[in-house]
Parts: sequence; C-alpha cells; structure tokens
Amino acid sequence: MNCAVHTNVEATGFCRNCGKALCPECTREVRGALYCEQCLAGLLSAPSALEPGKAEVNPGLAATLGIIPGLGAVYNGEYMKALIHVLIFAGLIAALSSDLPDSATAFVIVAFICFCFYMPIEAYRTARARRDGQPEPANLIDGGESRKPIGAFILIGIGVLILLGNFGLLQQEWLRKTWPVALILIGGFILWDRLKKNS
Amino acid sequence: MSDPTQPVCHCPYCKIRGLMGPLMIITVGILFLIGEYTRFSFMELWPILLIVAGVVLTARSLASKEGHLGS
Amino acid sequence: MSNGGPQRSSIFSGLLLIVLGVLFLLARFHPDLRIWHLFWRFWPVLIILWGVAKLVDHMSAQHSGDARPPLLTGGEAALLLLVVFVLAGMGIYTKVREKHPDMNIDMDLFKHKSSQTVELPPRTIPAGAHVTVTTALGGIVAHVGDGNDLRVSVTETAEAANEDAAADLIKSLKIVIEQTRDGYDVHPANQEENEGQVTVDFDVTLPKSVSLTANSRRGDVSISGLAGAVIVTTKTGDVEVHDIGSDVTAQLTKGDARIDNITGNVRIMGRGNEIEMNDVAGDATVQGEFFGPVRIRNVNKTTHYTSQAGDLTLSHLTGRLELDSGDISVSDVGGFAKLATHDKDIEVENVAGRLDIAGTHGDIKVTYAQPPREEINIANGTGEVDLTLPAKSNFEISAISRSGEVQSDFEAPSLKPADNNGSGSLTGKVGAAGPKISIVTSYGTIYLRKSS
Repeated sequence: MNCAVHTNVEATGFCRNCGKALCPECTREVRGALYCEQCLAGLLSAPSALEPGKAEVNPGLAATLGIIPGLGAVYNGEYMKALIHVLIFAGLIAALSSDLPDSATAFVIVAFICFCFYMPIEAYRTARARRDGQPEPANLIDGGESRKPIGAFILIGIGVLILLGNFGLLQQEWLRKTWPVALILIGGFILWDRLKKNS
Repeated sequence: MSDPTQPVCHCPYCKIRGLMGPLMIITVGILFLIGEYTRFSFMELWPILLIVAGVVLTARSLASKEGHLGS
Repeated sequence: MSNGGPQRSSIFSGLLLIVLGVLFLLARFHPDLRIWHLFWRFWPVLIILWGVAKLVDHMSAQHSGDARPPLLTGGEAALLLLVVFVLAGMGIYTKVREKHPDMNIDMDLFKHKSSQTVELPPRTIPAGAHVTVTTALGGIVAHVGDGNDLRVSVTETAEAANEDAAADLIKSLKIVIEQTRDGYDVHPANQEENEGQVTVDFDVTLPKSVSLTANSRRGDVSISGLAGAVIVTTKTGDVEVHDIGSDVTAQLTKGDARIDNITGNVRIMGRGNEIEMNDVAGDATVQGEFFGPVRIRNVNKTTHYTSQAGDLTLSHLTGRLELDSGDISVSDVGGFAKLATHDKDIEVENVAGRLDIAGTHGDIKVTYAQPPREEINIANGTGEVDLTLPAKSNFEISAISRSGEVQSDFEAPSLKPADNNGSGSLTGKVGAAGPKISIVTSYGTIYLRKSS
C-alpha cells in the first residue's frame, strides 16, 4: 500500500486516528503511536480530548445490574439497548415454552445461557469504557465490525419464528431435521460479509 | 454507541477477531446437524465448540497487529 | 517501522480452550481413560502449562517488539475461574456417580426414549422345571397360565441422545432362553454393555408346577400362582409375591415387600422399607434392616425377626406382629413368644405359651385376656412395665423395680409389697398354683393391673 499523500512511496504505517496510510515523512510519532499531521493537530487543539472525562461510573455495579435483563444498559444510559435486551430475553423464554423439536429447544437453552452471561459482561465493558473516557466497545446491538445491527435481526428472527410456531407452521417433520442449516447459513453470511470487508 | 468516525481496522489481528462470531454460529449449526443425522448428539459433541474457539483465539494471539487502528 | 504499544491477547486463552475441548471429548468418548480422575490428581499440570504459555508470550513479544502481554488479564482471570469451577464440578459429579450408582441424574430434555415389545415364541417345558429370569434393569412379572408352555413377553426401552442411537441400542439387544441342567434361563444376551441405558421388562407366563428365580437389579418383581418355590432378588425395587405353593425367598436392598398366602416358608433378607406378610403356612423369617412399617399376620409355624432393632421369635402367630418407627406390637400368639429389643416400646397381647421380654429402653405393656398358663419373664432397663391380667388368674409373682415403685391392683394374703431405699418390690402368690411371673426393671414403675 502507498502513502496517501506521496502516492509513489511505500507506506510504513497507518494513522491511529483516521487510518490513513503514512510514509516515513508523513508519520508523526507520539509515544510509540503513529499519527498523521492533521490528526495530531486536531488532538492537540481539543483540550477535552486530552483530559478524558471521568464519569462516576462503577463497572462492577454495572455488571451486577446486568444480570437483570436491560438493567445493565439502563445504568449506562443506553435505553434503546436496554429495551432490545429485554425483548430478546422475553423472546427466548417464549421460544422455550413453545413447541420446538428437542434439539432446537436445546439450542435455545444454550443461547439463553450465553445471553445471560453476555448482558452483564457487556454492561461491564461499556461502563468501564465510560469511566475511562474511552469510546464504547463495539457490540452486537448496533454495530460490530461489520456495522450491521445484528441485535435487530435477532429480534426480528425470534419474532417471526414464534409467530410461525403459534400458527402451527413449524411442525413439519423435515424442519425437525434440517433447522440447523439455517444457523449455518446465517453464520456463513456474516462470515462472508466480514471477509469481504477485510480485503 | 460505537463511534461512526472510527475506521474499521484491517490488521490481521482484528480480521481474525471478527471471524470468531460467525465461526461459532456455523460450528453450532454443524454440530446440531450432525446430531440430527448421525448417532452422535449435540450433547456429546459440544466440546468441539471449545476447540474451535480455542483455535481462533490462538490464531488471533499469534497474528501480527501490524497496521492496527484504534485503542 | 511497526506500531508499538497495543497489546496482544495471550496465547494462553486459546490453548486453554483447545485443551479443555479435547479433555471433554475424551472424557465422553473414552470413559476408560477416567479423565476426571486424572484431572483430580494432575491439576497442577495446568499451572505448569500456564507458565509455559506465559513464557511463549514473553518471548514472542520480545521478538516482534510488541509490549509484553500482562501476566493475567481480567478476562483471563474470569475464564480461569470459570474453568476451575467447571472441572471441579465434573470431578465431583463423577465421584458422586461412582459412589451412588443407583442415582439417576439425567437431563430428560436431552435424551430420547424408544420402546418396543416382543413376544418370544412359546416353549413347552416339563412339569416341575426351574425357570430363572434375569434383568439388570427392568421389572419382572410372572403368572401362571394354562398348559405347559413358557411364554415370554419382553418390553425393551432404550434411552439415548437421539432417536437413531436409541433404535440401535434396541436392535443390538437379544433375549435368550437357555436350557440349563435343571431348567431354563431367560435373560438378555448383552444388556450389561449398555448399562443403565436399556430397560428390559419381562412378563412371563409359566405352567403352575414350575419353580422360579427372578433377579432384577433395578426394577419391581411381581409373582403369583406358582406351585414351585420362588426366589427373588432385587436391588432397587419392590417385591410382590402371592399364592405360592412352596417356599419363598426374597432378597431386597431398597424397596417394599408384600407377600401373601404362601404354602411354605418365607424368608426375607437384606434392607428395605415396608414389609407386609399375610398367611404363611410354614415359618416366616425376616433378617435385616427394614425401616418402614413391618406387618406380619398369621404365620402358622414360627416367626423370626432379626435386625438391629431387636430379635423376636413367635410360635404360631394367629394375630399380628407390627414394627413401626418406635413401637413393637404383638397380638395373639398360640405358642411361645420371645422378644429382645432396644429403644422400642413394646405392646404384647395374649400369648398362650411362655413369654420372655428383654428390653433396654422403652415401656413394656402386656395384656392377657385369658389367665396366663405359662411363665412370664419381663426384664426392662429404663422404662415402665404394665401387666394386665384377668381377675381370676392364678400366678406366683416376683416384681422388682430397682429405682421405682410397684403398684398392684391384685391383693392377696401372701402378696408382700416392700420398699428398699427407693427400690420397690412385690412378691407372693395370687390364687391357686399358677405360672411364675418375674418382672424386673432398673428405672421405672411396675403396674400390675386387674381386668374383669
């Protein structure tokens, strides 16, 4: 890859802030981190950037509250996320009480357990980032490295499945045996999406 | 919410990190399929999930962080 | 020039997960390796591996110029804690499972049941043959049918992780009827390999003259109508035997026994809960610890009861013997009665022959509706003795309470009450010549009552 400014010179690094490719001439190094000149100037002139705001945030408390669906996100002030957490939680429980083939029920139980771990961990990480003034960690709900709102997709998916189940459309024998294919397709799609973005 | 001005990092480390999620989902799907069609069951094969996760984590820790962006 | 600064995650997490995954798989598919026992003993190896992983991190960080990964990140610590709990849990689970092989800790949701019933072709067997039916897991029902045929109906139930595996288990099971020296042996050919997973229930119809041995490890046994002898063994299960023309022997480890109408001797051994026995023409013997109510009625010959609670021998029990959690109660014995117990209250009614009671700790109450004609000996430790006799009885009494008094309704010229430093006594004769009555207690009051 070549430098963004000197397009015929090989780049030796990337600006930490904006990602621009930098040749040795353009590189400004501060304590081992590489910046381009513009970003460095910008950072210097914005005092708030040099003093990360410390919020009165307790990550441990966030993690404890996070055990209750939605409460962790509420503590962090992310009300939309809290709502989504609650809906996913309710959706999983509704799925458990509907009539699924045995293996699907097992899967829902596993997903449920993972989700119950995920909520406090996520609340903890977000609270810690807020406390240290760092940008909040990317997460499933509204980003992730592919920028797709996976949380919303999960909600829609669970809703559709429960609806179909209530109308008895999920009782087919073949479905009992082939439902994991849906999982593989979803995973494959996400994989393909990320691989595509990365090259 | 995550910072929209933050570019996505393309270093090998972050690439592999991004693969973890989809790989897990695919592996779960494969394991359940195996459970339905052979005499094995998901309850017997689930440790394979641990192994796949471990492989991804190990690969990630061996990957270089060259060109890494962000904190 | 490469970026310095950003830390990589340690190689430790990944390796740990891989090792764990392999461990779990091995533990599941090669139970012979006894992974969890190995873990219980070799867990420090994990600490060594941790050190090695950290070393690798350090060296690779030096090599590539990145900052050194920390000794233990928060995430790693959490993972480590979780892993330790899970492995400890697996170790404990395995140990508990070994010590209590009968405990059934299963998650029903993840198992699939499949069942089928098969009728084996009937086989004609000679009169008086001996048939043995054995199942490691499952119940046995045996009854009498017309003719000389042995008819076996088998219900096989397999539990496995999925439907195909369950069907495979059932397919691999074979029931054989082997001809032995003195009879026939009915059992599954390879049930032990699938231990705990295939239930084989037998329903057997036999000619009346046959004698039967039924063995089950986990399951109930029910037998009726045979003229030949019956032997039953079961580890976890109830035993029910009715209307047998010969001897009955039952060995239990955990369960109830109900035995009725036996023209022969009955012998129950082992441990269990309740026993109910009625109408035995020969001897009735109970040997072992049975914790539930024990009720025995109408045993023509001798009833023997031997356990830690006490020893009882009753000759010709026309009434009943009942042992409950704290009490023993006997009524209507045609012959002699001999009771030796600890820590139980005893109630005895109407023993025609000689009565001997030895207790250590409990109250003893004896009642006679008819005047006694044989000796009565009662020795108690800490507890009362209450003896009620009809008014017209004739007897010779010696009643001593070492630390208590003797109270008597009976009065006679030769009857002498006495008190020696707190030790009460009553000696003498009542009426004409009669049997000797001797009552001794260390601590408690002796009551001699009169009934009309």
